[in-house]
Amino acid sequence: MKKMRVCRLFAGIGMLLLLTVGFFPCESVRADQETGEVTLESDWVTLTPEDSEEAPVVPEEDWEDPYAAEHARAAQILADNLSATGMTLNGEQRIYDFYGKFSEEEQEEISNWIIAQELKGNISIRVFVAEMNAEDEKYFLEECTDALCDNGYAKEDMAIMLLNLDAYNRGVCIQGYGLCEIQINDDRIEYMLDDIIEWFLADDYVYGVKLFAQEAAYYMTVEEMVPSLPTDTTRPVGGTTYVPYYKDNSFKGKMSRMPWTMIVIVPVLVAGIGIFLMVNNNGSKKTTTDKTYMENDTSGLTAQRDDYIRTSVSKSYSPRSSGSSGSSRSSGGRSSGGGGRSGGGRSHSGGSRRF
Amino acid sequence: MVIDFKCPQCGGGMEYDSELGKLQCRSCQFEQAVEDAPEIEEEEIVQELFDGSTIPDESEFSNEVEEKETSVYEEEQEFMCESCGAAIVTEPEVSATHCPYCGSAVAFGERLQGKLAPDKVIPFTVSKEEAKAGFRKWAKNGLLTPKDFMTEKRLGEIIGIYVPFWLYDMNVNAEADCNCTKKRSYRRGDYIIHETKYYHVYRRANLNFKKVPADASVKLDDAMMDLLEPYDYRRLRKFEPGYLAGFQAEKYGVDAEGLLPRIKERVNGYAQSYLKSTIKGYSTTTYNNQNSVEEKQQEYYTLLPVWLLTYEYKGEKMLYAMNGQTGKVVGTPPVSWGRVAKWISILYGGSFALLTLLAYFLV
Repeated sequence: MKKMRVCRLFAGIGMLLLLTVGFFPCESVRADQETGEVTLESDWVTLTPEDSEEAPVVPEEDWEDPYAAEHARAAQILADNLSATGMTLNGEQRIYDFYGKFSEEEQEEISNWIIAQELKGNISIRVFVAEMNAEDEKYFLEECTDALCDNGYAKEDMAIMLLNLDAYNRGVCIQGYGLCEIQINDDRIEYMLDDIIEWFLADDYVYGVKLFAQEAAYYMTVEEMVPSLPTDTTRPVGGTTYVPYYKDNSFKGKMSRMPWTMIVIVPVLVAGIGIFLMVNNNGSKKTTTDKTYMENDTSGLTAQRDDYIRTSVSKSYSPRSSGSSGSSRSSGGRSSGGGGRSGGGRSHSGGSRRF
Repeated sequence: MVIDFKCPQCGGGMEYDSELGKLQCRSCQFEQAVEDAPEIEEEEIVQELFDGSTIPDESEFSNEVEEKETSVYEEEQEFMCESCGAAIVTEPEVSATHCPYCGSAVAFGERLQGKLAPDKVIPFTVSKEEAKAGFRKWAKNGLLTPKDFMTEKRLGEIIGIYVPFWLYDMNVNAEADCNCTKKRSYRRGDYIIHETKYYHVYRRANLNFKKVPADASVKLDDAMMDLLEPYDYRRLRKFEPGYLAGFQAEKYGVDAEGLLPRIKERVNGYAQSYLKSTIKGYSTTTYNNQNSVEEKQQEYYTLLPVWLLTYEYKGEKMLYAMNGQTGKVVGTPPVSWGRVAKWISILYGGSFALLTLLAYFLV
């Protein structure tokens, strides 16, 4: 009897261990990140264009750009940045740091990480770091995409991110092209922003960028919740809108970063506190109250006074907020941007947020 | 003087039966009302006092001798069992017991009369069998209690005992004087207004507490006896020696005045918490002054029923008590480390699994 119980206990612990080790794709990638090693997980499903029922949108011949002026301005920003830093767009570089935010080592670390993620998701991932006005971000990324894809420097299936470090317009903008437009749709970009922004706010830019690449690759492999066919085409310019799969995912970002130590330590605390309470309550409790022996009929107040004396008033200045919740993350509120179409006619999903 | 409870029909020993609420003969099942059982006869007491054999006559001794005699009396005393004639040696506080030789129930008149005469008694309503079952159930319900705790064999040693209590009727006049505030905040334009209203609050109450108990036994732990409360006073009866038949009883070791400070402190606490409960609707309360005058109105020397069990578990002696009226058990049961380990693994495994699943489904 006792032996059986012990056996059951061990079997249970064994199963739990299996559960935790087996089902943590994000966690296992993160472990790699700490050692600097990049490995391909066998449980990652790579998605080829044939898998998708809808072929990616390709530039059309008769495409007339309604945002030609914006695109021209964005092209100018890209050109200015390239000339100022002496960089040129190429097929090798994953991160274009026009701002000079990352050191060479950091850039190498990020690049290696991105290359690994690209393999997992079978997509291209590019990151730009620059300064500009918030309204230019979207068009800037569209211009970058056209410039990269037209020259064959990147795949048509591309996730691209702009980290805008302008002092007054600090923000992130993410866009997905080709297959990424379907897999990394607007809703998923919102989730990604939820996660990534936290790291930028915590001043860990390297990890934030890496997390973007990781989640982009991850979403390429997650089929569920992405409708196979676009069902709504109400988006004003190009692209497609998908049935939103709003699902309360507000814990997701936190959980994917839930450290192993937490999964181990929290149960220790639960068990410790639980046992402490049980041992402490192991005795008899008082079952009389203050009223047990009081004779209600003959007991009561004989005098009571509540004399008002004075009122003191102080006031503090607190301007009414204009509705936005500042830098706090909001999964519910859609951030600016959304999808659109590049000057070259490439349709994309997108989202951006200030931080 | 020894009172024994003899069956008027067959002469066998009678005991109080908690179910019948009467005395019942162990031999012929004859039932007799408690009031009809033998009483303490005043004449006999006087006679024995006159003999000076049991209680020394204080006036005849000098202080020194008196002290000596008293101390002898406090140690132990010998009675003769009226059924079998054997000498029963008892501890000084025992006022009723069984004859160790013939098993008949006996009560000692000297320890139940005069100043030592109880006013009231609550008879046992939990029988010995029910008490045993109660202890067993209590041990079984304990989450950390070992399985081999409260075995039938050891449970045979439970003792039904009438513990001496003083019940006090107390009147308390209490007052509290305090400063209170009401705080609120509201927005006006771009400003948040913090408003604090100050009040001077005064409360006076006249409270009557009926029959607040304090155990007068020297041997038993006060805190333990307090935990046995409450007793249901609706079953409070005028004392009759017949109630003691078949149980042990003790006489009080501390008199009514001796326990009064403890009771005063207790009702003072009750009164202050009553006053506190009448000060409502304020954000903060600061007491300037709290006063109370407690007055004893009446006291009753009362015997309350308790089942006592001295249990030796793994070399450690522990005392458990059960309210002989309500069945409430008091005492700290031993902790089984095996069970602690079991609960740790359940709690740890459970929360670990939960976290793991949570992490899995939300990633």
